[in-house]
Amino acid sequence: MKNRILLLVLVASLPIACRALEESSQPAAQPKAQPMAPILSMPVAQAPQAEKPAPVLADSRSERFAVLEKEQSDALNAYRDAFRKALGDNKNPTQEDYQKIQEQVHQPDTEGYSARAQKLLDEDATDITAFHAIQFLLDNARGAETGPALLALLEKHHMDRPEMGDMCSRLVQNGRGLLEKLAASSPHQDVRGRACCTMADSLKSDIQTAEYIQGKSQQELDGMKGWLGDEKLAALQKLDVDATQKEIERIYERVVNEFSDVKLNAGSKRETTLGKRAGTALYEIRNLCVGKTTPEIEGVDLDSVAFKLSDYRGKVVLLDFWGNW
Amino acid sequence: MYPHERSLVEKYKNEPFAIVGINSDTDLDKLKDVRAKENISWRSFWNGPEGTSGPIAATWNVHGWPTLYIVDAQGVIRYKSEGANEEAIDKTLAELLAELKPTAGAAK
Repeated sequence: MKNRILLLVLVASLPIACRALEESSQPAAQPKAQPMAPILSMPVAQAPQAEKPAPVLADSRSERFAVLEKEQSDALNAYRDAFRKALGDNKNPTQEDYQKIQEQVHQPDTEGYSARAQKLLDEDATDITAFHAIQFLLDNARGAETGPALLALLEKHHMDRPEMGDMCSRLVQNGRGLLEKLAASSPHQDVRGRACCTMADSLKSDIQTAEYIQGKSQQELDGMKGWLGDEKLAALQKLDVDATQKEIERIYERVVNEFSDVKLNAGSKRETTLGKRAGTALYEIRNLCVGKTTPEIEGVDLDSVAFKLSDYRGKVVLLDFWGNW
Repeated sequence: MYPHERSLVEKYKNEPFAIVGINSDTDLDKLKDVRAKENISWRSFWNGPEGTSGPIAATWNVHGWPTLYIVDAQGVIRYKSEGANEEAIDKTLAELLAELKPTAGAAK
């Protein structure tokens, strides 16, 4: 179980996972993906891009990028299929099971693909292909070392692009400064709104991680430096949770006031608006925090018999949002 | 999660304690098999045919599973977490159940 929560925190801090959250009003695929650590470490969020129509091949750069993206996506799908097949009907795989499968099924050559994207970027850091290459590299980066250089290029050349909305979720972990700039001064309303929402997500993930690291031993904390970095870890240890919570609330209020109609996942089944997202988040902040009285739940049990949460008043209740996956 | 929950049900069988689930599976028949096999004796709301995006999880803004809340006897939220931290859950439950015992109050 301890592994499980560590995994959850890792998930919460991965830009990829956060993007999955932003791009789906509910992350139906997430719970299934959570126990599959090796797959999570892969760039899982590529699939939606693969479904897009091929870009108009205006020049050889965009063509090279499109080929790269397709090759990587095909390799990833093949890897996932092979992984699932190797897993078979093993419902509760152990670390050893994962290791065995990893030995048989080889992960796609992420470094090779990244090197090709980096080359495109080195040739020209300013055009739309460069923007896509940055996106690709942020999604595929294994460590934090490439991040700052990529963010610097984004800030120098791409801040005014309308496509920056899609970039926001990649900025959760290390790009809060850029998010603040986008929220304040992007020329595009939807980019400003999505930057706001992502800032709130990012602060929320800080709170969760800060709560998680409370009371951890120095040894455990050292283990987290790898993915958090020294500076971030130190900041999280000192995080003022109440102030951060208030900041999140202010951001969501701004979203409701200024960006309510901005659509997310427009045209898909999961279409929603920033207003709805922010509204739900505000409801949670105001009604579902420690110290608040629970809202009523009225529903039916697994045998279709009606009951209410308030039937349990007088008892201490462990409320478990669960699924058998 | 199931073994821990079963142990809590057993440990607190004579105390004012209950587990209430909000289940987001879509295949109810399969779920009932699991319930029998895993000896899940506690009651769950069903989140409906939309699974994870059903109405209860949506209202509660749940985006990670399991998400756990501990609610005291007055209905006040005293603990919440995404992910099952057994130690923290055990500690909180023990404290809240102790609050309900008159002897605990008198001893102070």
